[in-house]
Amino acid sequence: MTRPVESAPGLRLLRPVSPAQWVGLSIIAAWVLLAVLAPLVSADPLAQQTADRLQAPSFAHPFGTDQLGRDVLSRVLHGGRATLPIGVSIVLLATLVGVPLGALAGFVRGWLDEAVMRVADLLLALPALVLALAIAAALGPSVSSAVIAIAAVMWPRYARLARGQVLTLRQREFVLADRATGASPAQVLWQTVLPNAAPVVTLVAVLDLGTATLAGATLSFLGLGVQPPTPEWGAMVSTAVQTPEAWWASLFPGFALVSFVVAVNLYGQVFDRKGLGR
Amino acid sequence: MVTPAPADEAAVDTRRPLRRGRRGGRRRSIARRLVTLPFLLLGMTLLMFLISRFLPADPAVAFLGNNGADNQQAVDAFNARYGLDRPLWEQYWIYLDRLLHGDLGTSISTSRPVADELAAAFPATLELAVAALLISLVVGIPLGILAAARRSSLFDRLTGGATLLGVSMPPFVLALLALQVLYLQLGWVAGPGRLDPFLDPPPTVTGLMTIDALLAGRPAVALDVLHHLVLPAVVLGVIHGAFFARVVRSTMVDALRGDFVRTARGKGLSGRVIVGRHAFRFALIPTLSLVGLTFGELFAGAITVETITGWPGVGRYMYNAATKLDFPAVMAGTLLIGIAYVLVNLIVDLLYGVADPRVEAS
Amino acid sequence: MTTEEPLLEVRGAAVSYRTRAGTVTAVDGVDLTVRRGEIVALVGESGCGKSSLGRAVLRLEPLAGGEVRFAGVDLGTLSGTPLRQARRRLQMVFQDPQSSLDPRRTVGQIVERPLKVHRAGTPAQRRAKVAETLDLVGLGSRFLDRYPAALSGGQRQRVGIARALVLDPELLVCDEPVSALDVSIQAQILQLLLDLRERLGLALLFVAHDLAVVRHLADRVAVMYLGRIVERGAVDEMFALPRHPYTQALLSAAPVPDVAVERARSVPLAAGDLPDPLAPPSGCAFRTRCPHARPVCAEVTPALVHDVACHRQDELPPFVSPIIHSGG
Ligand SMILES: Nc1ncnc2c1ncn2[C@@H]1O[C@H](COP(=O)(O)OP(=O)(O)OP(=O)(O)O)[C@@H](O)[C@H]1O
Ligand SMILES: [Mg+2]
Repeated sequence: MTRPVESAPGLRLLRPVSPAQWVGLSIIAAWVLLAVLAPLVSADPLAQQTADRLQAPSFAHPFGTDQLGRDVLSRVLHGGRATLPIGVSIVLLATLVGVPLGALAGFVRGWLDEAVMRVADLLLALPALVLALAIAAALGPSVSSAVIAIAAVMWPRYARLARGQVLTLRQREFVLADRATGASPAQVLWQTVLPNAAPVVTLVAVLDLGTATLAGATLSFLGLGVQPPTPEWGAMVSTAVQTPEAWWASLFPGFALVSFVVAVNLYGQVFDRKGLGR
Repeated sequence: MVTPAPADEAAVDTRRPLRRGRRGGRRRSIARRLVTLPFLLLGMTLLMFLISRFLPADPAVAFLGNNGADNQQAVDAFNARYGLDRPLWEQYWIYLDRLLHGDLGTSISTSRPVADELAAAFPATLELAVAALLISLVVGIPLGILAAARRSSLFDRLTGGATLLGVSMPPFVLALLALQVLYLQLGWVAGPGRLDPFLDPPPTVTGLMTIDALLAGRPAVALDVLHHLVLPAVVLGVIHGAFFARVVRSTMVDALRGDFVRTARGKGLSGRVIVGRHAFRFALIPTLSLVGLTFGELFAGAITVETITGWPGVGRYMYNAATKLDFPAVMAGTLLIGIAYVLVNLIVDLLYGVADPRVEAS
Repeated sequence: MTTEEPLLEVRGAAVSYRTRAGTVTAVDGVDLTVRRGEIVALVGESGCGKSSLGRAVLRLEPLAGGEVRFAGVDLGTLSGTPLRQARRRLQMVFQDPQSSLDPRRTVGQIVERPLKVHRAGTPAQRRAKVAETLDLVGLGSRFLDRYPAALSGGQRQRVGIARALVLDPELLVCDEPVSALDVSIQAQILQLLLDLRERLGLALLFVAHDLAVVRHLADRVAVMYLGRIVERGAVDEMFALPRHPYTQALLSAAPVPDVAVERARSVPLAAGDLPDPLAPPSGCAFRTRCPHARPVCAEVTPALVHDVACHRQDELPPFVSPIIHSGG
């Protein structure tokens, strides 16, 4: 993030360039596809078969069954329908709050900048997940409180990023040139400065999908996010902890989560190396 | 788990790269940290106060639980105690005053003072965090150096893959996997808990049970605690070891490209000497500066890992509190972890600042 | 050029920047006028405050002192909509054609931007105006959908000029519009500016660090040193008879086409670099590099007398300009 990335259509930045990135992107795409198609390709994730409780993986139940006799494979496939959108919502909410705040702070400076950045510093000075846990607990356990809680600890990251971008960009001559045309400060910020900060912010947001998904699943694991019986990877692991002998009930959803996060990080590795993003 | 924010871009005056001396800058930043510390701590209490005052639909229910809230007497007592009818700043003042007197509220689930429960749990978490940190450094630094020294080799690629997996691994999944394999299948480690129930805990001196047991002259007890500590510590240690390995590798790779290495090569020093003597130092500095940050992740990871492995620390306490919606306990635990994190970071930075000139001069 | 009110009148303008190391006074009490249809050049070496003054004229930089009047109106008293309206009438071409164009907009969007900002015309009218303006600067409409990254330096500068022209301004502040370009392209752009003055009756405040560039362009020249004007006058007079030691130094530093003259040229008058603007020399700022400096120069800041700010302007030895001898 030494300087805003040059070149016009900025999302070119997101194009995969290495084989590892393609692998990562394919896994992400596969999970998204499976989540979308889950109702078509898999059994009812809520159907309980008390006779079939805690069955080891078999032909009928490739991932086995859980303590209520539900098919773990169906639940893993359906779980993506909860886990993945939660991760995306977290990042969306965090950027929607953080980017305008940070951009405005960097653009107008003064007391607003001071105020926003001190709040951001405070939030960043606490272990993020712990604070998110407290906020989610205060809001009461539900999907939306998990999303809000994690976004509440993540937005400072985007505020800082956007502020840094704006601080650099506002020195650039084309921003001065835009002011010289007679554009109002608001027009300069939203129409000229922010579009130029967008590629880097988008890149960081995409790379954060892994972290956000993980955090969402962790809150669900802690019982503060998705509530049973809705299938969600973190929540599934949590329920299955009580039956450690049935390793399949916890490890398959766990591996699903890990594979998704690995995929996002695999895709993001190249940017890491270029010094972008993190 | 949530990665540290990108460094603030201070691109205000690009024309004038006023380079302050590295050491002068660090010393100044430590001084600034000391000055801002009280404000930071105060800010944290304010944040916790605002969260507990405004986020719950009904603070009385949140603090007393549903049963307590049915009891009008308890609700009145609660309102009086927290002054919920008084102006906001006065409420905050009451909250602060209580905090300073060590009153963190009463747990809904156990009806005991949260402060007592946290005091009992915190040393266990500290013990775990320190052990995990040691493991992560011992694993991560050599791996990173070796990978960097043999860049692009098969070894480098394998560690690259393994560490990517490590940093992507949610602690709770790895903890489950480790529990399955190391405990249930192989039986190599002790199961849940901190100490065999048939052994007497040593008298508390430091709170770190391994050390207390040694102080009490009971190595068997120390060994048993260690046996229990292995599982959670290895889980957290491996994840952060992967992180350190990646950091060390990339700094080393950069360092090996640097001028001084070329100079050393020019002097005819062998590759191994260069790696061992020079690049190592350069890789170590940035790694050590991340130790403070790592504590935040360790504390966060402790919530799930302690729960799964039954280590009786603040993390498990927070988990139980969260699942039982024991709001006072969650808030107090968060504040404790926050304060501990800030202080640990400060200590690490102070130590680092002390170590830095020596590292640089050698 | 009678008693007509000047289009641009700068009086005692000062611009300062606060930096961590202290306050830099980049422009320190500059007087300057530009009449309608006139080309005035502002010349001085890098860092002397030319861009700062140019930006201050457009109120892109706040004035620390003095005033800028445009068509009789003190721009400092304007804000909000009246200021934005005034900006339609005075536009700027920036120093670096690379960084002064938004990399995320196409050429068409860049040139249309000022029209959009001022909500001028319908989309169709705007499109026509953009095409017309691009034609004016010698770029066809095939450039409309290109991004700046795909243009050459000269093309970019033409886009920058088109953007400044699209609002039909009366005054164009050109901040070293050619210094980032190849010599061959420089001549083209200068010719373009001359044509535009001819066709549109445009007035130009033309900033340059090189006297030679402005010779065939400007009507009048002001020479700037460390935030102050040290000499000003009609371009021909100044080239024929530079009176300030700094102007003389600039003239002898100008590239000389003739090899014989290059050899015979007097030793450089000014040695060393521009002094630190954070701590400018006392008295005459140029004295640290001036071969004619006397003690008085360190004590009293010389005012502009007969358009020259030098204590010793009447005692200096006659200057032999290598350019005059080379025959232009
Ligand atoms: N934004 C700023 N912040 C701090 N100092 C500045 C800023 N802009 C300019 N300066 C300083 O003001 C002085 C004049 O700068 P200015 O850009 O006006 O010079 P210039 O004559 O246009 O130079 P050049 O030929 O290099 O463009 C310089 O010392 C410069 O370092
Ligand atoms: Mg300039």
